[in-house]
Amino acid sequence: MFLLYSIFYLLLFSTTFSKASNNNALLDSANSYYSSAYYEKAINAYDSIIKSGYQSSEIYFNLGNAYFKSNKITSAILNYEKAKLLAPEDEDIQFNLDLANKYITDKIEILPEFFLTQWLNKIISIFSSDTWAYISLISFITVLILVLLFLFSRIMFLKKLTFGLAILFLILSIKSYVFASIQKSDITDCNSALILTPTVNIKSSPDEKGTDIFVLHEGTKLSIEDSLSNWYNIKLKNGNEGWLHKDDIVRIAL
Amino acid sequence: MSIKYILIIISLLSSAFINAQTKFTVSAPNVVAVGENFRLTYTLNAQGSNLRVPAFKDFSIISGPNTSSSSNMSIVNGQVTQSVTYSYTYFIQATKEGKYKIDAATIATGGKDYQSNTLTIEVVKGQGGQTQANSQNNNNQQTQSSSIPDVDGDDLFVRVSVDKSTLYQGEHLVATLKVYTKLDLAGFDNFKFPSFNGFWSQDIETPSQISLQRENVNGVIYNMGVIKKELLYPQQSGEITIDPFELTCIVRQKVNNRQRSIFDDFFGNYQNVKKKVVSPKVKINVKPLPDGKPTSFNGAVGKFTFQATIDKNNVKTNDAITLKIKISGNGNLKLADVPKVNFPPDFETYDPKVSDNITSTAAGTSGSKTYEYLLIPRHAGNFRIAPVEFSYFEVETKQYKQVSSEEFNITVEKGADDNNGTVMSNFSKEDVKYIGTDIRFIKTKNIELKPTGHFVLGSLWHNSAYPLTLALFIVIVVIRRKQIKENANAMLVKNRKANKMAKKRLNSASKYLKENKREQFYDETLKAMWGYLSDKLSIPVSDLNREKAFEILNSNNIETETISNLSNLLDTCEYARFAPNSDAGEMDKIYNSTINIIGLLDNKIKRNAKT
Repeated sequence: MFLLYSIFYLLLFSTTFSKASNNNALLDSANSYYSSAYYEKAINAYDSIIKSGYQSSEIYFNLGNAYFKSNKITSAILNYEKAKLLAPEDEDIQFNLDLANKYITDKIEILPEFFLTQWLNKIISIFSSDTWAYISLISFITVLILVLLFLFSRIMFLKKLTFGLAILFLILSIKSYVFASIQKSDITDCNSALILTPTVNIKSSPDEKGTDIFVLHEGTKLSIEDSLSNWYNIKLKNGNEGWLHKDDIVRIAL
Repeated sequence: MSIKYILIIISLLSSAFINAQTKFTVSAPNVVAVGENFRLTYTLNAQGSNLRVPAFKDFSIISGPNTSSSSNMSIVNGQVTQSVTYSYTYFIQATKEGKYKIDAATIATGGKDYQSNTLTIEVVKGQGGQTQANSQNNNNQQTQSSSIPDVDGDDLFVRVSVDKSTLYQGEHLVATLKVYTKLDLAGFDNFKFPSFNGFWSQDIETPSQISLQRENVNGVIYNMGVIKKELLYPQQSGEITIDPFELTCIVRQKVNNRQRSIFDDFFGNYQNVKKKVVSPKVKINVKPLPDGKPTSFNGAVGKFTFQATIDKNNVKTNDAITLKIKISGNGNLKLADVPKVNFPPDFETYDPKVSDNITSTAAGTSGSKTYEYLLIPRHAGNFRIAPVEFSYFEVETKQYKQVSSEEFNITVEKGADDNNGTVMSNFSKEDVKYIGTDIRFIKTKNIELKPTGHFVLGSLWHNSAYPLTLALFIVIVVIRRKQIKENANAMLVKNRKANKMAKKRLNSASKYLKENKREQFYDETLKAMWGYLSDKLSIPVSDLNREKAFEILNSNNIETETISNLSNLLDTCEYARFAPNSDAGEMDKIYNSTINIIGLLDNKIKRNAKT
């Protein structure tokens, strides 16, 4: 019975392993296609890696680059945004995203955020969700070790020190757990989207007959606030709201 | 033998030489119908004899050869030129459908034999109603039985014919606007040419006089005239439609009058009828150029040679340099953009002077295009112009070809006017020039692929890690607590044992304490103490004194505090033995502390012995 189980596990691991090595080969070929300007082939190769159920910020970044080079700006922006979700503080991603955003039609003034929110967002985006989760767990274990030292030490100074540190690490553990969950929800419940059709009239109500409020163009980023049958209530970064049809946008979701 | 060969070669050469003047040709319509009479004419521009014609298999000769001759004399500026034409005409009728080759005929003139060219005649199925086919070359006249002047769509139509319907973007195609007719055409009117949207078009020279030729269209013979020829370069990929071509033809038609006069038949009674014809649409499938364009590719399709030259390599500042780039070959030269040259940013450059020498033929546009760049170096130094690259798409091999010039190294020395120093009174700083913007290159290193939607947070091991470590923590605390407690218990047991032993030794002392016999009590206490030390430290009673005992205790790592306590106790006991007044409380205290000290020493010494 044990033998059977071990063979089963071996098979399971070997298949996942071969899948990973296959993807690495695909990745190398995709990168070399990109370098020799076969952008269509590079796009196909990157796509098939993502379709096989694996991802990384670099793959999305490279795919975005390939789309950019073949003049598909909206797809490029979409993939840069996805890469940014996985690696929020990456400078290269931000640079290329900014450059790609220069090619889209709509210019939207971003409302300034409250400085504390801005700082908090900055701090949260220093690490990825996984890293925050690790930090939380490690600091939790540190808290326990410090409490042990506190309990069994006879020296007064050490007792005071470990008590203080334990409280600090406990706060760190809780905070990083919260940060990790915020980042995770940013990725899983992402409500950002891009406009897909060249020109869209934004309506005042979820209805074809609704009054046109303003016009948006391909590639503009917006957030989805609400949905009603086939319509989305969207909000722009400058605070404007309106309704549009579901088919006109593509969600930035991994 | 060799002389004979030489003679033959000489005669061949001479005949070739004469051939340049003497021409013997054959002409006949390209397409004929079965049963149709047509003319086959041999023409010679000299008087000939002994005409030998090939056997006209599959044709039947109706009459011939009919010989005719014409002579022509012209006097231009007093110079007299005379030309003679002899023609031998056969009237022939085709009997079977098919394609037939008429072999060369020979004729002798001036003692030499000449050979005519060969012909291919296509014979198609004859028309049912064409009984009286008395057609003349290049002019088809058909009698209409109906009196109403009507033009049938089958008798007159126009077409836009293209030499290829599938091609690459930038490749050329030739579109020919043709008119087909079985009728007698008097002229054309109201040309409406297609706009050729999606193409860049170029006219090809055609004779202004439209001459009609016979052509076989689905087994029917038509007279075909070329109206216009266009060279087209598709500018976009996908399916492009060429708009219809519209033309109004003036058709001469014979009218049959009721009252027939004798002149009617003789001169004919003709009427001009206008008929508008429209060509069908033509669809062209344009393939986009394949992937893998070199960076220097600028849209050139065809076959080119490329050359870049520079007029001088050594100049002084502010002297002009000319860089000449010449692209020549066959293809869409006119549409090719300027090749990009990376000049040193410090050079002053001007837009290139472009001159071209391009001709358009049915084989495409060919010629050359020259770009002349004027460069003025403003600063001294050694400069390098990277090789100029030019690439094009070769249709035959379906590949991109890349050619590059050599690298140019230019040495710029300080010119005379720089040395004056009067101009350079103020130094101006320049901003760093950013020459281009591009996205950052892809990431190739340290790519870690993770399964999609996998997070550490919320995973089973991460979730269970917290309670597990907490449980471990609690277990450690509990175990440690218990251990401490047990340790404390062990100490207690040991103490109790030591106390018992001490109490035993102080047995008699306690008896005296109860009886309150002071002197005996102290005596007995001292005795017990010394006895204990002697036993424990294994010192013989004869050697026993304070210094020796304390020394050994010291070497046994007994704290000095305990030792001094012991010493104090000994002092007190010795002193109290002879002191007259001391109460029972004092004795009690000493008794207890003796027990304590003995117990303490016992523990310590035992532990040391263990370790």
